[in-house]
Amino acid sequence: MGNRWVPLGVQPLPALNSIGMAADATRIGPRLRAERTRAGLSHARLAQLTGLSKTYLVRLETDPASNPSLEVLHRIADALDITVADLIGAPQTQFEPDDATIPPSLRAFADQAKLSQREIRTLASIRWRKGEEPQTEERWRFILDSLRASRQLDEHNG
Amino acid sequence: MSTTAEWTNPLVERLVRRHRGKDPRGIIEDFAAQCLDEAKQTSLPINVDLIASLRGIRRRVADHPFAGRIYADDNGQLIMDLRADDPEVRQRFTCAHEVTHTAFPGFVRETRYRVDTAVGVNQNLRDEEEYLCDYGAAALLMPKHLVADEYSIATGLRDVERLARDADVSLEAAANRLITLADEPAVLLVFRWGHKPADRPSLRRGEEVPERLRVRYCVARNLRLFLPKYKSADDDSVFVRALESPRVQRSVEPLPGGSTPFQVEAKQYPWWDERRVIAVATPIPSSN
Repeated sequence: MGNRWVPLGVQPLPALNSIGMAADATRIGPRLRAERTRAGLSHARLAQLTGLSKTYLVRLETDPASNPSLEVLHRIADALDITVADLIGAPQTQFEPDDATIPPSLRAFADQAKLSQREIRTLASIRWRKGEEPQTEERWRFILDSLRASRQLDEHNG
Repeated sequence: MSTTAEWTNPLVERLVRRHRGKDPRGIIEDFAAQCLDEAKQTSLPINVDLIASLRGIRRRVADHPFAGRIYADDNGQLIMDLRADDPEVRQRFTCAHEVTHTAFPGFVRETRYRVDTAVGVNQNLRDEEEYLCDYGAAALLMPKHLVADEYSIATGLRDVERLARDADVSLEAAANRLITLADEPAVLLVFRWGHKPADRPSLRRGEEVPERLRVRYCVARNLRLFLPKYKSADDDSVFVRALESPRVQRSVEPLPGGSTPFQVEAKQYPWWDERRVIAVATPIPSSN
């Protein structure tokens, strides 16, 4: 899925301060600088990755009154491998555990494998189509192992 | 799945309770409208990647055996995995589907797999949450306020193709959305070239069983009719003609297994290595 950026200046894009959500526009500059530094990117390299000018990026980091559009923030977030929500400090939804929904086969596997609460919750939260729910401890183990393997791949590649 | 009383999935029931008994499709439409409003998406095609990112979902495209999944990693970061081999329109729909999962109670730190089946709203789908997530994906990518007055299923496949192009979605997704929003009676039919399940024993015995163009699913709006799944289309029907031609085929004829004539437009619709035909049928206007 390629990103299709709208050329800047072609049409007015919604600015951050028009977003009806709890985001602090004045904190974007410090966040952007911190994330760019964490990613080890210079202004010039980030400019290259986003198609934005180096001057503009410097201004975003230093001018609290700069009012970037969501499209601009999306370009930057993608280049930094973070989300727009990370960049603007949007609130994160919290997890709502529901222990009553843990199926018996998962409970048995959790007891036997001494899973952490986080692992139990993660596995219990998977939604299955009818007839595809795991019925055995072995299947739950396979699913947990696949998630762990996937995470290790990310860590290895990161 | 036409009334609230028919929803039985516990998660959907919790969703309905949270919204004081509102029909879940209305809840999902509201969720889609909120996502679009937050991301200031006011024209087609919708930037669904931006919507996901604004909601804190990180998108990763890799070689997966499934179309998509969303889960929270150890740090609580929402990750959306999409299959690299899928065409862009499919990835866009899957992305919107996964975003819609976050409308349900208790999602944020949950892991969910989207099992690879059909794109679009399949009337035969029994999983209510999956159905609603497909419904939400369509509402995100083809918002009612941008589509309802501009495109109509009454034009047959013309507006379906136009909407698919404008919204950057598949023909099937566009047709499903227009059927959902239609005020007038219409039927969407999707056919697939192949065997029916009852052929399997013969095939296992090594017997030759000819493939046919068969009904994969249909969605009717403001009409009461029944089309058996896997019912084959007649060899001289508009549906089979469409399979052999790159152009839209038009005819007035009954649907498979029926006797009442409809106005039908049909077009071939290759999907991966499958030979498919998509068709829109509307009742013949009364002369009275």
